[in-house]
Amino acid sequence: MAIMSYEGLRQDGRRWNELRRMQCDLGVVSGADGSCSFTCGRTKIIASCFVVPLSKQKASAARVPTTATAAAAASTAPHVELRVSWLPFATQERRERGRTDRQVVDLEGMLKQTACAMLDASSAVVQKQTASGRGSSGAARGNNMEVQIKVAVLQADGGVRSCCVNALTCAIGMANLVCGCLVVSCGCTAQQLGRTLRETRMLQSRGEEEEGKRLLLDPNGAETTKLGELSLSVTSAADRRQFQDVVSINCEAKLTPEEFEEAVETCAEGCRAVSKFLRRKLLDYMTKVATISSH
Amino acid sequence: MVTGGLIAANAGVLREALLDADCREDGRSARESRPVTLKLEHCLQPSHQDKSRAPQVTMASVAVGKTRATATVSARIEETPIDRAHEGSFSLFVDCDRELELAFGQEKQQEASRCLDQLLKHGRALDLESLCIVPGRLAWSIRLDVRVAESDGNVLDACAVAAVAAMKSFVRPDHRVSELASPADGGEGEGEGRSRKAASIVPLEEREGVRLTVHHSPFTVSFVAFAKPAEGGEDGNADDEEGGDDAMDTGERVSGDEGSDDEAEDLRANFVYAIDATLAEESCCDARVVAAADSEGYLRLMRKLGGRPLPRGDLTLLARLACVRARELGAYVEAECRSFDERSRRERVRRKHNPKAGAGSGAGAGGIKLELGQVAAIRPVDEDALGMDLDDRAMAEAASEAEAAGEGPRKVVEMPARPGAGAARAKGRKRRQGPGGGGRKVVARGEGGGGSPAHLRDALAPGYR
Repeated sequence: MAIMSYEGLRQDGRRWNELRRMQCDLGVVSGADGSCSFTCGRTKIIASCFVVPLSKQKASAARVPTTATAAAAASTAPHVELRVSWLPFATQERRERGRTDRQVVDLEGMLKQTACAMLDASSAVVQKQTASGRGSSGAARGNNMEVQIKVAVLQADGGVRSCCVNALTCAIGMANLVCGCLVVSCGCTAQQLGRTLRETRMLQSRGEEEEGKRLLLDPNGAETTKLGELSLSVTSAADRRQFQDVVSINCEAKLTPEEFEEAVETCAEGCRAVSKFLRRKLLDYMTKVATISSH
Repeated sequence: MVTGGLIAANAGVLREALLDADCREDGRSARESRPVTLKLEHCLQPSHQDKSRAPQVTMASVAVGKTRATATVSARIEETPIDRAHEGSFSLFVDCDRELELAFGQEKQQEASRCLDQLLKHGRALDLESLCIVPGRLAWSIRLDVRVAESDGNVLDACAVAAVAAMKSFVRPDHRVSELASPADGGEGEGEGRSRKAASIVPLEEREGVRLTVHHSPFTVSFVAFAKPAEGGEDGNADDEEGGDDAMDTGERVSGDEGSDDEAEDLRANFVYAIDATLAEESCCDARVVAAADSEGYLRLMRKLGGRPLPRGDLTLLARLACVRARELGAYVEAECRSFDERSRRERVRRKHNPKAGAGSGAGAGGIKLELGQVAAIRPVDEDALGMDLDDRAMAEAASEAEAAGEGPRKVVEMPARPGAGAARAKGRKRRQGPGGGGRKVVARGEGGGGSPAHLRDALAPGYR
């Protein structure tokens, strides 16, 4: 089956620059400080975030900066523990993925570092706004708090990395932790359409498509396997000084630097839309909570 | 090993020097990388029980500044992977010394391992289909062991160079597939009831080895980012990034909506990117970016995990820099591999013709000192008197190699007398146009003049029996 039809529609009926339907439910895990179920097309992720006191053992371990990946950041960012569980029925063929599975380890490392960057208040350019401290659930500042995050991949159909990041952002946002920036993520296909003869003809027949609009935003599983994916996580600060700066990026396809730049720009457009959606959801939730608590 | 405390104390100094004076702890500028030295060698697999039958492996040692890494490639015949019947297998392991692991951190090692895995294995750098011997049954299995010997930052780049160089210069022995007539042939395929075929390894001395098919050679280039302080000093540092400013401007133009762009630019955090960071720089940086590109200039991997958020335009800049650097590295590795091939070919020829000298891995380890082009004495040889098996493969190969090495045809080379040995004339060699075979043949004659083919072969190929 072709990735794109002659009418310029993808397999699931989207145009090249359309995102899948997103759905975001906050507070799905009772007992967690913040939790979120994020659905994007057929990809579904649940992230939950617990703030617990830091155990003595971990505190002493954290104090000795052996590797010191971010020696300066360690002072402001809380200790983050993150676990990803990839459920066996997430993909079409059932597959158990243990703790040492390559994909799980990869995802875990990337999410953990993204969460650290998010919670690291010093990464914000403007210190005074974030450091004013209105954390409701025991502001996880200083070294005496630990943030435990659990991410479950319930269904995987492309864009798992991006969806995990978005779910994580919602969970952290709902827990109302002090964070430097919110991070949103979106992916696009890494390779352009038009490599094969059929695709070239298809693009020619449409005519009105100008060059370079051949990257597909927010690819699903089939598109990812065929064309590769570039997933980009950017800050969603309203502040222009830090507007859409790249927190993490992962691209494992063959590209020229020019194509790379274009793909990053395409992703950034997608991120903008995701950011708008997530902010509205969080804001809705916060107003609801505020209304209830004020009664 | 630099400890955390020391780095914490020096971090401010390091950062200031880099930001203000574009000078790093070893005197480089931000865009300068440390010299890379590559050493390649063929050696016998050290872990093998039987020393005389140990397979040959290729080892590449790379030093980037004080960081050192070695990569070893070895091959053996195994069953094909269960889900891919037409492919061989390729496995990659990264490990480092025990005490280094403590200092270096499990995470970083894993990260390096995953990056290499992605680049070489999942990026299909190696052609696996050519490794298949009997589909569904037997295939070559290539194993790449990367070992970090010393770490002074930028371990990943050193590992990648070592891995690529080792894969490029590795020569696996050829195999011979036979219908399973004699199971005791020494082939690895024996003992499988259903299989009618068995493969046995033809030693490298007997037949020319086969190279691995390497589709592309990716090189990683790691960068670390240091944020410039937001207040002031921007104009003074602007010349640090000669290529960077325009790339960053494009990022600005997209992000800045309208109006006061200049103001936003002033307030926006600027970053200085240092290539090939040392350990101290790595541990006090704000963000790390790993890019990988192959020698053709394609970007193969771009990875940034967490850290300070970086402007989007800068990533493109880093991608371009990585491509340039990878091309340099590619040219260097290519040249090294080629000269190594030349060298090892000469060595093999020398060892063949001078078996006792080549007992060890290095040729000329206490033997006849005779350069290849040198002719000791020439005398005519009558062809009928030799009575040899002219169709011996090894001979034909030696001939073509000797020819490649630049010897004149139709000469008999006599080695000079060995200093210690009793035999005055160790070996004579003759090349001539074969009457029936058509190709060039080489015959050798021992001192006693016995000259049976088996004897001859043993004399020429010491490892084979």
